[in-house]
Amino acid sequence: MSILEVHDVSIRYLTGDFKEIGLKEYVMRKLTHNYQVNEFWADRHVSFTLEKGEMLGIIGSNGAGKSTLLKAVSGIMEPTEGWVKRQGNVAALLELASGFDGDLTVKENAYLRGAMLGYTRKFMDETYDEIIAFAELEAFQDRPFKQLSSGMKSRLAFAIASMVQPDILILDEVLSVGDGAFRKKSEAKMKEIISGGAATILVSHSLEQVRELCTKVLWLEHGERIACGDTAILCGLYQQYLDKTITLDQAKDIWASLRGHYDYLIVGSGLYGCTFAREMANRGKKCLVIDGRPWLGGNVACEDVEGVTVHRYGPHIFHTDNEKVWNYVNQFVSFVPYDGSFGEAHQGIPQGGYNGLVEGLLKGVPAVTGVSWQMLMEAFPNISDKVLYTGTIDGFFEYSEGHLEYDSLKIELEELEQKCYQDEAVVIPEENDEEHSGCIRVIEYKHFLHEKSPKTVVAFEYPQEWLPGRMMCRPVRDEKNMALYEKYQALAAERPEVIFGGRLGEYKYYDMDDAIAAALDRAVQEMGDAYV
Amino acid sequence: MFQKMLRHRFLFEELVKRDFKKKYKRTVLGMGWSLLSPLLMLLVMKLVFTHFFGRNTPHYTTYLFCGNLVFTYFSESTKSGMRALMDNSRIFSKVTVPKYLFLLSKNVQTFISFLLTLVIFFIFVAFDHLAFTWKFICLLYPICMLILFNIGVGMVLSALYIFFRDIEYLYDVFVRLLMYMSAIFYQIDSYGETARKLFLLNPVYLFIRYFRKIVIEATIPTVWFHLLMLADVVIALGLGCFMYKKYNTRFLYYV
Repeated sequence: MSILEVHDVSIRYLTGDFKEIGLKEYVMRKLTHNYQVNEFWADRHVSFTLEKGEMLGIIGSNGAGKSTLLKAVSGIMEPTEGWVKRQGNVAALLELASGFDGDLTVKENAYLRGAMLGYTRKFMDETYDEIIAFAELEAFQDRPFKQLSSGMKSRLAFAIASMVQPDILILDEVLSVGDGAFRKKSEAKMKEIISGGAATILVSHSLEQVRELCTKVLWLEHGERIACGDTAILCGLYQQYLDKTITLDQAKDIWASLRGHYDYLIVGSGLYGCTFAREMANRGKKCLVIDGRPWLGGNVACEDVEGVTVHRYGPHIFHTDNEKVWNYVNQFVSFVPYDGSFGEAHQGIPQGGYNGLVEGLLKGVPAVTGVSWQMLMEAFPNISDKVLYTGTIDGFFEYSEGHLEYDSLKIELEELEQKCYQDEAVVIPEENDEEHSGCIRVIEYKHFLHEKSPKTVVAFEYPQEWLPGRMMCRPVRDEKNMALYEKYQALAAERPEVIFGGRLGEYKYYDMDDAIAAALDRAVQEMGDAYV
Repeated sequence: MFQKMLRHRFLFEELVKRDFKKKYKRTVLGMGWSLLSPLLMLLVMKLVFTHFFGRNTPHYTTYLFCGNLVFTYFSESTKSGMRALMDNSRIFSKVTVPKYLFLLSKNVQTFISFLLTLVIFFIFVAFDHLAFTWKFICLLYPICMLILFNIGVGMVLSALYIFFRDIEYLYDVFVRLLMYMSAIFYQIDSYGETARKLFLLNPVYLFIRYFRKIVIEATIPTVWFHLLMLADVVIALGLGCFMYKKYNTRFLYYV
């Protein structure tokens, strides 16, 4: 039996009706035939349940209907439709600092608030000192309340409200009160109450707090339930929505696709993963692609900076002698020839950058950004029968044997208010000015696709020592690292349902064409058929 | 159940305390004002109206005081009651508390002022050479009824005030008109039979009349008179309770 059950709750506000606009307006509008009552649904068909010891985080932009929903849950408001069932007593801490009386003293306000929260006088007499000590207001007890700072007011409110041991605890933006030290203290207190067995609902604009504290998340937007479930994934999606990298509909689609079951889960949306996904999808397999980063395409991803197509991870020039691969990629995107020579039959850069190629490869395949392998496994461990893992193999095993090493580069992008910085796309400087000392290569991206932006974007590349977390270019593959890789391969052999592929999964450098060729081969190998 | 009562008692006490502190904060006379203002009113009326109405009215001071006593209590109580919900809207939109407590708290305040004025009233009665008979005990009836009547009217007004702010001004006008229609400083004997009956429709007049009957005429009103008063109270209180019950969860949409 759930301790709290919210079933199909809708809450409607009427605006512009007689009671709101007053008599004069009413008569005026009636006379001018302008009178109309608008309804506004603050919440629409919201349902969720909460068990003992759970903590639900409610997220959503301003006006999403969070506070209204809390009022319905706490019983202050009755839902227009639907119902709320509560097992046990509810303590609601809503917008704490309001509702105090500025003219009364701190002590009087403390008692009044305690009375409102349903405490007894005896209880207040016993705990008053503790409350004041917790709020750190010993010196202010007999001061009028209006002389307190807003932080102090919230502290007092929190201190009084947190003296309870409710079955259902509702917190609306209350954990972010006071300064850093008090925040820690209040969080600790909150955790104590939660560990006492309360079911808790937290509304917070701090995603960090929600991630850290909540066991599940309800995402509301315009009164509508977008999703309810795993904290890490939903916070990730919400963050992307806030950053405007995905729309609300996309978020809904992503959430829906995460709740399906797949033949193949493809972890990492680089060329290897995308090609494999395309091939398996062509063979009628149900695939899902996830990427921990907030975009698709892995290291070939491009972004538009001031009308210039910038490769996020250094210049990627597609070059190949492999006719099969060349024909394959040309199905999806046309290439702008590249003038420099790699001595190979074909070389160029996709029109509009690599994102078009990635989109083409993933057409019809659900792809989710901002969701890492770890997050997904925690939320939906049985989402697929098999996995193609193109992330780091050492990372997959949580670096149990140690870190594999890579070469690394540091790339500094500069947007310049000039038409052109250098004559060619790629220049290896013979000497550097002071500002760019140590730079080994300079890339001016607009030359690749002959873009006409009035500004230009230039990348300066510097060698840097590789450390975990830094950009990974080529695997080092020396004796020491290969020995380590073999250990990981042995571990991987125990996970037959996981295919390790690509540059990071196989700890092996792939040019782009080789990555595609390898993925095509892998698909054939997986299905035991031939190219289709 | 008992615990619930106890819990509300604590809140009620704190609310009453708060309302008192807020009303008289930083005033020199404090509670004294609630005595002084009806007395000053009495003084002015006595000076102005004795010439016109006082000559044919025995114990005119007491006659006036009866009217003022009741009417001041009624108007203070209902006017402050009207704002009770709105003033506390920030509380009941955050915490679930029985909303009538706010109104009762305001009524406690005005009732205490009334009691103090009542003591003064009895002193005046003594100076006016009126005898304290056993019939004075009957005054408990109109007092209790007036308390309930004020609460009922206060409930209706405070609920209306949430939905309909104009009521504040409307009621102000109404109270002023009512004062002139409650025979506070004149006698109704000179009116015709029908007009005199119409006065009985005014509940405030009933309360005033009851006081005068007991104190000045030393007679107990008829049973019908008692029942009429009871009917007024039941209507006011019933309407108030009905509105509070019906709109209990709707109030906070309009605050």
